[in-house]
Amino acid sequence: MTLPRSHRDTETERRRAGETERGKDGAQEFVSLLTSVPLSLPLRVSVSQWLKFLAFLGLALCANVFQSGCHKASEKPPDIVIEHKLAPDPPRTGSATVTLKLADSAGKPIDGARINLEANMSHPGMRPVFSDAREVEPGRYESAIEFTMRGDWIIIVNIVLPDGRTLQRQIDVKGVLSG
Amino acid sequence: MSKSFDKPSEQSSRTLAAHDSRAFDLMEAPLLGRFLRWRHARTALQIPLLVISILMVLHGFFGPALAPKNLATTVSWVHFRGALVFVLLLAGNFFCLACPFMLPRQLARRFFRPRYNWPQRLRNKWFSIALFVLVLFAYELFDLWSSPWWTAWLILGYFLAILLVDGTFKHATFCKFVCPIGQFNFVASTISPLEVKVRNQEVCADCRTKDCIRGRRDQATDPIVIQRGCELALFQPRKVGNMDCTFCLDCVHACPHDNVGIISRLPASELTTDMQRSGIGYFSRRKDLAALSVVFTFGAILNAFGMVSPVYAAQNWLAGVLRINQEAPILGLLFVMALIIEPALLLVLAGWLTKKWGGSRSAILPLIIRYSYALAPLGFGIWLSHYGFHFLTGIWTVIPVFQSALASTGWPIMGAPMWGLGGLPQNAVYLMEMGFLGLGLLGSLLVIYRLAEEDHETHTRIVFSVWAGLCILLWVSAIWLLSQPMEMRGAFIGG
Repeated sequence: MTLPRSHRDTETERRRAGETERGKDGAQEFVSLLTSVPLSLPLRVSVSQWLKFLAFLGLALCANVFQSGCHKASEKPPDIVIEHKLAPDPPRTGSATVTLKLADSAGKPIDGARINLEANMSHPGMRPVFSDAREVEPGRYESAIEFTMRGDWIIIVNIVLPDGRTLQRQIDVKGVLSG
Repeated sequence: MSKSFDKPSEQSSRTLAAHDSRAFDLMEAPLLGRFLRWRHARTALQIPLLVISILMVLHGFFGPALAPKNLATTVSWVHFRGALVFVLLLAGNFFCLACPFMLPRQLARRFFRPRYNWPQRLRNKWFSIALFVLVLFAYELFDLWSSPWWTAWLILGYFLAILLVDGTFKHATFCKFVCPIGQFNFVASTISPLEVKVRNQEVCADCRTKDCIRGRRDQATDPIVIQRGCELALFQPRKVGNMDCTFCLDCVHACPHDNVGIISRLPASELTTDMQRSGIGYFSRRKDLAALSVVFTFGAILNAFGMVSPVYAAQNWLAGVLRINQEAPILGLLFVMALIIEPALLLVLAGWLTKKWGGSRSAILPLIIRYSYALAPLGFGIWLSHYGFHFLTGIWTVIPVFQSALASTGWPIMGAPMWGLGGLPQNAVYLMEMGFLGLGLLGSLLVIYRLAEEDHETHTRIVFSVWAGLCILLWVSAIWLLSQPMEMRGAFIGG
């Protein structure tokens, strides 16, 4: 194959400059690499060993990550029922109201909780929006929140229960539209 | 009268290559120049970035899953990209200089010396263009900006890819032929005001050792290189511009005559000439480089398109017409339209009009290749506006993320996270965005005029108008896109 001029130029530069390293034909070398022919290399590390090392490293990391993912999934949910409602629905830019209902496992409303909300966009680098919720009736809390931009939002609800326990819930708000 | 491009002109090569004694040389600057002359300057820059990269990977895997609270996503998609384009605009390709991915590669090469040459068929930019497009595609398809986990994998994948490629193939194969970020930097740095180049060509004319490319040895016949030369095959006396230059400073340290500096020049001036460039050849004969410039420019528009509302309308419309409910084929179709069909139509039309109205004797393809490079300043302006927006509006958001990451390790030395920190107001940043777009357009128009003036002496204005029209069309598209309300969404279809 005739090389484009520019590539010949590159090789010529090296030769002109006195560089003496020469290898086999590139395609042949590539094929021989894929077939993992062991080579005599410094410290006696062969290409196949090199590839095996990288494969091992990759697998080890995969295992680590999947293991950590499993741990996260096995967390137990607390015995608190939290319902949420967003108005307007579908959500639009501007002010929105988040209504939260807290109840225990028997369905009894939980009053006296302290709740604050933090709304983030799914893209990093955007300033989050904060607000506190007020209790409008036993177990029912409302918070006004400002969606400053269109797109996907994530609301993090931080709850301090009357007994001092803390909870955190995440509400995904998909596709906030123009107000 | 017009010229054919079959025989590239050597005109003005000497004037471009010659060092203006009034030019600023960063290597001569107090403190910074001294630091850059230090043999371990690159390593000193790489180490902190490597540490940050490791923290990003760890936080991406084990930290919060919410992108705005994770180092991997915040640093990658807000601060790294933003700082990258501003450094390219104001200085040069210093991010390649400080590339943390090179450090493990250097370490690995202490134990493993690669013996292969990169296959000759792949010694061009086509493979890296494909990877660049793949990264843009994956960014949209997998919503990388919103996934710390995938972002961490991307960083880790980069490290592994470099170890694999540069552990197997000699020289800086990964940088020159594979790295998508590197290709972005190479094109963008053609607009940079600084360039690594020879101070005095006469010194090079008398040089017999050519250490800047061969590497420095104790004795000329000594096989052991104590300071390597350029791994990207850029021979300093014949190097022109920043294309393929990683600012690694190997040539600076290797030159026994201290004859290589980081010297100021007119930004984008290298795009106005077509001379033989060391390690590259003639721009007019490099279809792959021209394609890289086109993908760089149209990719900038596509990437900005992905963050505004009309993209969802377009995707929903396509999904309805084609009755496809999966995102990948719809997104793929958009990419084909935006990166192949649209540029092909516009460039062929511009080439045809140049030939018809400008009386060019050249075929259409060489004309397109010739003028494709002129799109790069506009493309860079669009990238700068887009990435600059995220960077400037969210510049302080990295502080609470760092605070939170430290606090989560039980070491809250930076105090409680200040999540209310943001950045500059969007209205102010919008004005800057428009300024960057205008700057990009101006750069492209100047390059086009210079090319038209050189190639079509009697039809300069007509040829200029044709290609300027194309640039203005792209510029208007970019202004419209960046004026749309931003809308970052995970799912395109059905929303």
